[in-house]
Amino acid sequence: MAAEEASAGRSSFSDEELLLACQRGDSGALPEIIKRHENGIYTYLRRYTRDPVLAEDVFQDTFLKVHEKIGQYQAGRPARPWLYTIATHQAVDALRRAKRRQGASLDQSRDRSGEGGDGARMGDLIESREESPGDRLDRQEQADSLNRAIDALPDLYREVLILAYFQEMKYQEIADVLGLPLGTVKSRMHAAVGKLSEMLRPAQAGSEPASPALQPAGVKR
Amino acid sequence: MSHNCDIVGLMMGCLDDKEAAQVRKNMGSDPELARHATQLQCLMDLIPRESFTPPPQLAQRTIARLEQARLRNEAAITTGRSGWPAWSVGSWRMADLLAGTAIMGIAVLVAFPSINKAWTNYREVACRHTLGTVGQALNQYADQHDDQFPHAGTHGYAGAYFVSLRENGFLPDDFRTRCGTHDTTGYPASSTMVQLRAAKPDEFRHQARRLGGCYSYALGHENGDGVVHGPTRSLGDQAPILADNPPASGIGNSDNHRVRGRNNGGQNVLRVGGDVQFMTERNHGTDDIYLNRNNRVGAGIGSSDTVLGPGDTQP
Repeated sequence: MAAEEASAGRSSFSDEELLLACQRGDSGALPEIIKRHENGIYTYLRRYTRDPVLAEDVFQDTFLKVHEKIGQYQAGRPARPWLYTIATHQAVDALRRAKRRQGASLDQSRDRSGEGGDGARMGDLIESREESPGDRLDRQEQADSLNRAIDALPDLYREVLILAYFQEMKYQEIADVLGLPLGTVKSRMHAAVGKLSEMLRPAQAGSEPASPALQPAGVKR
Repeated sequence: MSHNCDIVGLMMGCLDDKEAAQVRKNMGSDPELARHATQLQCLMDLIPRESFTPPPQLAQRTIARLEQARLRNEAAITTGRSGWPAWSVGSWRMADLLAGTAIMGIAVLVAFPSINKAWTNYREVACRHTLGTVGQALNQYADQHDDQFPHAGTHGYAGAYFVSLRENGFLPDDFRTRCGTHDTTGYPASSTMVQLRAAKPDEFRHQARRLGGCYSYALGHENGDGVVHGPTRSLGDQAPILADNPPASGIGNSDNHRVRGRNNGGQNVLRVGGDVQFMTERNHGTDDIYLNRNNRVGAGIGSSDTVLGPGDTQP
């Protein structure tokens, strides 16, 4: 009964309060955090690692690491970026280990998954959608193409895009998670969108240039 | 940040409220910008924002793993056995520390012969330099004393030569007759030859030993007349006059340049002419530089029998 009351009490805690409770030795605080972030962090890891099994392992490792490093959490620091920072580090380590084990470059699989056949689509999609939305292309296929294109982005752009678009983080939170200056995050985001456009553009030869909003970073206008 | 980038941030939801309001305002006044935003929105609408469903019981299994880890740590602390976390020091785990220690150990083992060799070489060179300085002082002394080198007399000690050189101003006050780090020598500033001779025999001998330091000086020779003749330039430029002390065991080369337990070093030898040479044998020709022809440490038997003795030896 007392345990249930304590659990109910914890559910009203913020993430930051739960981490501080965990620091004080409250053994029920971390499970509460895990339950709250199960979907978010798993989805993030699933996208980051592109591998459901690896994402599951990394998810567990992330919270073991949180348990291990709980003493380093500083009061007042936003909890979410702190958790995602640990998750990102665990994912990077896991991918590196997996790469060593398999002896095969992950880039190859990325290249395969992003095989340029779908490349042309982004520009086409945008234009075609404006002309006759949903009539000429199957939306699911379009989504798959875009997902594959995102997977094929270089890691430094992809991680920013994932955190921003899929995890719905603000620039400042992304900067905290990745340990990057705010300006770098913004320029990487712009570059990520530009790169995505670039990757999907080749087959659109002869058509009008992609939207200025999708120009790669560094292109002066 | 350009408007383009702000539009990306806006569409991605990465801007704070103030920034977002500013970009929207810009879009309101710039139809081109608004068009680009619409295109970007169309693109983003195509990317499904769906979340992946976690595997069944992922949270529960993670909590169970955490509990196991916590119990393992507690058990380790209780029994005094350390698991990884208990062994960690900052961000270093025991494995890291062990690997680091092993690498350092190997590096030391690999580097040790080189370091030892460099140290041996340094000592040899430093020793040679000291002997060279004494050689200059001895020749300056001889220049002023009819080619005679310092000689303590029949009942004196070999180390007294040093006092003679100092009293005549041929060696600086802070000069030490040491080889490398062998710091067995100290020169008592107040000591003069008169004071030494006035000292009790034991004290005189003790001081002479200290003055001689790491080196052995020529004890002179006798010609069967009971008189010990001191070293002179007439011995020839190649005759030894000063060298590293003989080994404590009496056998083999000097201890000053012994290489880790093996008596395969040698000794630096100062010649009358001023040259210093590192000899791997203790002979000058067929003559043992540390013993006279009677195999004793004492004055040579005849002028060609050169014998070098530590500071506290008498002819």
